[in-house]
Amino acid sequence: MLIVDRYLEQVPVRRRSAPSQAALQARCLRFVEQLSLSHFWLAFRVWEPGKEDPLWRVQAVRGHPSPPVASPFATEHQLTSSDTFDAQASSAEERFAQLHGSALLKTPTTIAASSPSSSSQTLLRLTGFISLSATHSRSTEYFSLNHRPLTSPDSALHTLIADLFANSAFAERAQAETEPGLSAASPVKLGRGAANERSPRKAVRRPVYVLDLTVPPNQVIWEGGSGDAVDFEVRTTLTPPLRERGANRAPPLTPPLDAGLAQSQGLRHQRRPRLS
Amino acid sequence: MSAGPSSIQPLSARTVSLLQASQSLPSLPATLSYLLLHLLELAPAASQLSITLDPARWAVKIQLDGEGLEPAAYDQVAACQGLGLVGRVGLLELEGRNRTGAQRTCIVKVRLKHAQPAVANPLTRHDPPQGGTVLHDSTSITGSLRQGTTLKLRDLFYNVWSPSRRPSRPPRSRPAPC
Repeated sequence: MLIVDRYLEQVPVRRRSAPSQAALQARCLRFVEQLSLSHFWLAFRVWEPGKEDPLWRVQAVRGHPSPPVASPFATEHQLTSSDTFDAQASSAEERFAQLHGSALLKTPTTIAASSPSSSSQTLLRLTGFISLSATHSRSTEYFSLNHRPLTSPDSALHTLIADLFANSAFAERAQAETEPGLSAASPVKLGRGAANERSPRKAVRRPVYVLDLTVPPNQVIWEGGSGDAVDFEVRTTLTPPLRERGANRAPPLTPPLDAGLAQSQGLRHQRRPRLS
Repeated sequence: MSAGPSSIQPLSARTVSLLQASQSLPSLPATLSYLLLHLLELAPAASQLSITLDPARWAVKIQLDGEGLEPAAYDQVAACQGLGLVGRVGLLELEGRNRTGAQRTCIVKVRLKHAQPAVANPLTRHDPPQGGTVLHDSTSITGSLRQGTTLKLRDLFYNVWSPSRRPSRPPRSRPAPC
């Protein structure tokens, strides 16, 4: 019999890697919040043991049809046009307002885009909204795939949207809204890694969006069940044939976003390898 | 060439199963997301989701209303597949009432526990798990459960102890400075 006690006791880094209870609860709440933004038809309540009032709750969006169009774990599914196309975008705004208030929903642009194919089936669909109220935080970037939230803010799709946002008319208008006094002599760059004479962090604007990308589930490979690992590739039969592929070479999502996505020939997202 | 006594032997099926589960479920939030996504897939007609978080006890309780789960979902739990994957690293209990048809109601309870080890682990705070895999699995027509699904998970990672997942015991209090 071999008993090992006080394992890694002298390695404080390992011991401190265990998250606290508050950190665990915050991470769980963050995922529930992300999940609620892709499941508008559900009312969510999170409780703490022994407490009478819920810790966190959100009501169901009224009038939103259920169940979801494409389930995350379905193996065979054909995306078809439906009347819920625009309803999902408006429901995303309403659910976002329930969570963060309507202040960040300044002139939101509803996104309802799809990539048509030769048949009546839809191979790629993007719904949601993007607001002109840029923020300094990354907590208002919500992206889900087949109603399944991509939890990591550093995912390739989040990075892609942030880069496109920084170079789009959205960012220019957001800059004008948030920094009306800025002149051309002291420009403030928007997007990832931007810097100016002031604090570089203060100069960075993050987009506010809730987007749900729907692809045929049989083309999605889910790794595990943690929700932050996904690898999918969508190939359409549109002409001209696909020339380049990759997250960094994806089609631009500059306004109008629907046109940008409709012209997409392929989109690939792959999980970034973990460093540890 | 015959395999010698020092050749590499494959791991047991139970160990492989445990490694697979622990690889897919690295933390309590990841496990919660796994459970929620699978439950919402299995019960698309639900309209209200209630979650009780108890990180101190490494426990989660999820309640879904609606028409309840199909009996096949309970079979997956009993077979440690799909939703039951969590049962490899925790103690999982799934119960609910499912209306299949006009007057039929199914009540199924499944609780998974791993086999009792030969020697109790002195590093665990809790009592060692008792033997058996499926402790209770029943279907009846009558019962006190209301329609819907309730999933209870407790003692997560009781058999996958690691500092990054779950400390085995609370940190020792440091002596007060003189």
